Amino acid sequence: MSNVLIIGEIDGTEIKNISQQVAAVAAGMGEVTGLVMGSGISEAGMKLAAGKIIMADDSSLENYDPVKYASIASHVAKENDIQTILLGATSMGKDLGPRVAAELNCGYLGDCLEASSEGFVRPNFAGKVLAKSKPSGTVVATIRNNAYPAGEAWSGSVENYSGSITDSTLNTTDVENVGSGTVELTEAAIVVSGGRGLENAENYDSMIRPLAESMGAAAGASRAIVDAGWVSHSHQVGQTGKTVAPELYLAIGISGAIQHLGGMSGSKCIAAINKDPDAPIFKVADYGIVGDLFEILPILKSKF
Amino acid sequence: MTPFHDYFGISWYIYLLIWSFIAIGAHVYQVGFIIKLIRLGKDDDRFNSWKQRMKEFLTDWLGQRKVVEDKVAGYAHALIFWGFLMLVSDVIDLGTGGLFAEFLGMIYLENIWNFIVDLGYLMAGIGILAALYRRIIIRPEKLKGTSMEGVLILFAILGIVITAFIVEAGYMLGDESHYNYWEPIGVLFAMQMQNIDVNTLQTIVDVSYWLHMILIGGFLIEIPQTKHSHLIGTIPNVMFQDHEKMGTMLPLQVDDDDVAVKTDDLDFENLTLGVNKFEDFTWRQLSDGWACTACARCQDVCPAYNSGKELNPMQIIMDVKNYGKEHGNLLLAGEAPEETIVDRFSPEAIWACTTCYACVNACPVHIEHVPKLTDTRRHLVMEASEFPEELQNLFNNLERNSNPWGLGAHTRADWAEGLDLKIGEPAEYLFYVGCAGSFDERNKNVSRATAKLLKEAGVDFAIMGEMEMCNGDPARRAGNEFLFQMMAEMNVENMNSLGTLKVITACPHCFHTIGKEYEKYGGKYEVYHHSQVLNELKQKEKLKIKDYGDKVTFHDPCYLGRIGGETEAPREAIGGDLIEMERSREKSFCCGGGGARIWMEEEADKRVNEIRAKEAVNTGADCVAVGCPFCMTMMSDGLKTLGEEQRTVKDISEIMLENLEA
Amino acid sequence: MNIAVLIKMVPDTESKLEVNAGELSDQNFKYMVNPYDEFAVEQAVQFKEAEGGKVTLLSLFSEDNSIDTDLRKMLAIGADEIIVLRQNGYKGDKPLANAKILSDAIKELNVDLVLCGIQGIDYYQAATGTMVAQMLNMPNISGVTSLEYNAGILKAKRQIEGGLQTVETATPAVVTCQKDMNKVRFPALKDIMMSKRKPFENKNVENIDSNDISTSESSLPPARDGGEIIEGETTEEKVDKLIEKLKMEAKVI
Repeated sequence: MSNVLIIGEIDGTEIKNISQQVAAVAAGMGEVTGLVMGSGISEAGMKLAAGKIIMADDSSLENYDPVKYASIASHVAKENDIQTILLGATSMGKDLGPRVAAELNCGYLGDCLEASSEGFVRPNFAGKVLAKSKPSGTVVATIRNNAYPAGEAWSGSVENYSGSITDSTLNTTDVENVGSGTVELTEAAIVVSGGRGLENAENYDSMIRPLAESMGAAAGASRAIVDAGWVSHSHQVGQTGKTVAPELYLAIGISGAIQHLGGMSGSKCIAAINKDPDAPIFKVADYGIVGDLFEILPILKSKF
Repeated sequence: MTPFHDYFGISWYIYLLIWSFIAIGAHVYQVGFIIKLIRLGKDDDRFNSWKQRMKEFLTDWLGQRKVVEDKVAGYAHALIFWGFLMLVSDVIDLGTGGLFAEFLGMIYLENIWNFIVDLGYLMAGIGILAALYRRIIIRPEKLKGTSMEGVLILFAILGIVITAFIVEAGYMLGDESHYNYWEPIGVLFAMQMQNIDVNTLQTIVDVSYWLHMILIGGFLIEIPQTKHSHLIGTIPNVMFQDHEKMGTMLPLQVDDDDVAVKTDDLDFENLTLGVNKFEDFTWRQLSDGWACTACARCQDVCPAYNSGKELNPMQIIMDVKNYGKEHGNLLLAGEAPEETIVDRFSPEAIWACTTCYACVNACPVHIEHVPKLTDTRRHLVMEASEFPEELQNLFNNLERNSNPWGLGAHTRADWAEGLDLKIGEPAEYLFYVGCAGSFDERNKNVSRATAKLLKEAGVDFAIMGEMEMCNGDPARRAGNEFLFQMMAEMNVENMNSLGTLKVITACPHCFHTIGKEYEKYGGKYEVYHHSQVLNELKQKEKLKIKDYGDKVTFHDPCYLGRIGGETEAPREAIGGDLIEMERSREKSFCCGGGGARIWMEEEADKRVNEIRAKEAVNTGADCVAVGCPFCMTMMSDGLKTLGEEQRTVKDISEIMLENLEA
Repeated sequence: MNIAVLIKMVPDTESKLEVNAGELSDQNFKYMVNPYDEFAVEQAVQFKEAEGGKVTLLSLFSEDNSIDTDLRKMLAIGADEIIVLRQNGYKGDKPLANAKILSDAIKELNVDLVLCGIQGIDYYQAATGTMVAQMLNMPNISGVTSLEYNAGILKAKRQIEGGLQTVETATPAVVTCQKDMNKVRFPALKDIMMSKRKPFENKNVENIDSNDISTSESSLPPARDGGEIIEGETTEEKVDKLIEKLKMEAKVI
């Protein structure tokens, strides 16, 4: 059994769900210590599912700062004889993880799909290759959201961070809430795209957009419906639109002309819904449902 | 009675001398200026094949071969043109107070000459009346909104003709009339005028004579300034018409043997990449400006213009001339005007061209519109790096994966799986599949159909597999000549390594580029469109194909029909009674995909393919046969947009395979 | 402002991925500049154009020269020089060792700013840039979507969950660039030709021991022969099956 450090993240008054997932993974790996950093976080931090929680609560830690956070995390890791450090693969975790690994001069595994005492699995080449590894020494790893069920919140012992906080030139001047559901098309892990099969603009707005939002996906479109004026050109996927390579590309009512395929063929997994069994999209799709999208979409939507 | 007498105590010829000096002087000065401007252009050695050039000059210029393709305007023009050639010497006679006729009289030619001139005036007169009828009464769509200049000029020429008859008639009248029947129209005029009293008659003759001379002089001054510059400009234009095969673009640099200089050896220090300055054009490109007659036939057939885009091929030619005129003094001083050629053409117009060559084909005076656009594209891509964003994808994809979509180069031969084809081995024919046939699901089916038919007929052929690359056409037509050349050089090397002599391809762009453009890069092959080979196999009964059931119309691909010169093989290969579209064969209308247009965004309300799809629908055909992968995509999309999905689009080979008798 | 841009050469996105005996075969890889790094080069050139200074491109790669043409294109965009650290047995999945070599090389350059892409499209670790920052003892800002520089102060917007964080720092600093942070210019042919005159230095570097974690086994997701059309009695059943497969087989949701 090894000593595991999990670094929790706070969202308002709550521990982020991803941090609880990480905690659940850590629980199977050994003795778990939790570290929560921020300002005015004592109440939320206590909810992290770990036996021992170290709280670094300081006004200078209000916003994530890689220099300060990494120095605290490495300090804590050394103090507590930690062999495994786990974080959520969030914008903070993916930034902090490698910095901590560098500071501790240890290995780093980013964006893991699987993590256990058996080893780690992480995606290479946009998920087209899976790489397994079994680290022997100290390791820092980030774990992808939704890879595991979240652990239960419980209060273990709480301790305040007593080490120093390094100076940093970084200064957060603004945090702008763009709101969820506006994932950038080219960066999204999931893209839900609609085509002519939707029949009109209203259906795009009432079916594709909400489905994308609930899946945490970006909404895309075929050229045909951009031309028809149902959606703006910024949504167009294809040769003359945007090139996307998400983990999952869900093509709804899109026949799949080569000009469209040119823009999304790099996707790891393609799923298609179309009423025409001969539509070319099924030639490239990994999974397909032949059927009436107006029947399928409401059911699909209800599952997320 | 003649007008050759003193006026206000001064002899008539003094007046005429002064006027001639002004008119001829102004004419020569202006023409000289234009010649100097044209000579700013780069060299283009077309001073060869004189015999062929003379023949072409006689048929195209003198014979008005292409002019008369437009029945009303064409024959009206031909009448005026031939009429003026016949009557032009009359100016000498009128200018010398009849000395010329006297001289002809001494060698017994006066009568026949009189007859010819009279007939010439008559023909010109009829031509002008027909042209006026067209401009004022018929008023075709394209003439609406044009200036009154054309009408005014026609009236002026009509004035020249009528005044000539009056002067002619005047000769026959006087103290005693004697009709010269060698001038029958003159006689008709004289008969109308014989009862007018002598003084009035003299005035009429005098006024007519001077009006005649003023109009002719005025015309001389006007010619270099307006579209009438074509009276002179068409002479070099027709004489030095392009002898390269239609649609072949010129390499960046050629050596003494007219072979392209290798990409590694290009002399970039001294190389202008494309055209942005007036003097970047060749002299022959510049002379087009002054040869244009503004007949608008190019405009009528242009897919970009007809779909509402910025481009009007006629305007491009006007732009060359007007740019030269407006900035002439600066240009001749060797200075650069602030406005560039690209500014004048406008990038939107430059990128709208599909390189279908309908304009060039329609032009009666051999104007070369397309190279002007592809040359400015070269500038925009290679020098300025300003081009539609979508093309960056295209270029990167071609460079990295040697296909326009950027799909894995290693999957190029996947379509052939299970067909047991020779891959990368020498064979009698190389089946050059092309990118669409290799990667596009729809067109893979065409590749399979073609391969199956060739196998059925026992043809020995191989494909290149992963060794094959895009032929480079999209890069070349989009102005990235350097990328094209790199691809051409690699392809030629690969093809030669297989000992390739004969090539079959189902893509007219491969057909054109490999067949007509690779020669300058060291690749000399006999290249056949698959319809040619399959038709021959059918004619020789190596393939037994029964008549099809559907009503079929055939859409001629530009690079196979008009540019490639093959319109019959596809028709015979399909067989049966085809329903022809309104525009077919050499006159076929582009699908909108050529000139790398298929890789660029097209505004939804300005789609070329919809215009063509409508024409196909109008035939009532159930099936649109195509012979080009891009036409396949564009026509299918067009039919879909029109809600005519029940009409299928099929390649020639697919129709043949369906009807193959086992 | 002197800027170092780190460039990773990565296998083309369309490369054929083959695994033999648990090991990813790199036999048929064709390499290209990591697309995320192109945004970094463009940003560096824009800063240079506004502020003056020098843009040095730094790449760590094997001794294979086939990448030179692609790298030169980055010079054509406007960078001033390239240093390629040639390492026998280079591996792209050793962020710690690679960051150490790169940061040692950066130390010799005396730069105000280090830019690179947020991640490589080969191993997607998103680690090297941040590690380099730590090794150089510089602050880092990662996943930046827009970056401004004014009188020694960098102002960056970085993506965070559900929003954008604006961070400022004095230089020197390391910034990793998110996709589409700018529009990468397409070099004109003249610029490509002229780039042949810009310094292109190859330096040999030794392999170093590191605590990087090696992959014990690579595998391809189960190959499906063409698409699988999901069958079912009811629509509900089909949808359930699809979600099941996306979760369990493809592991994409």
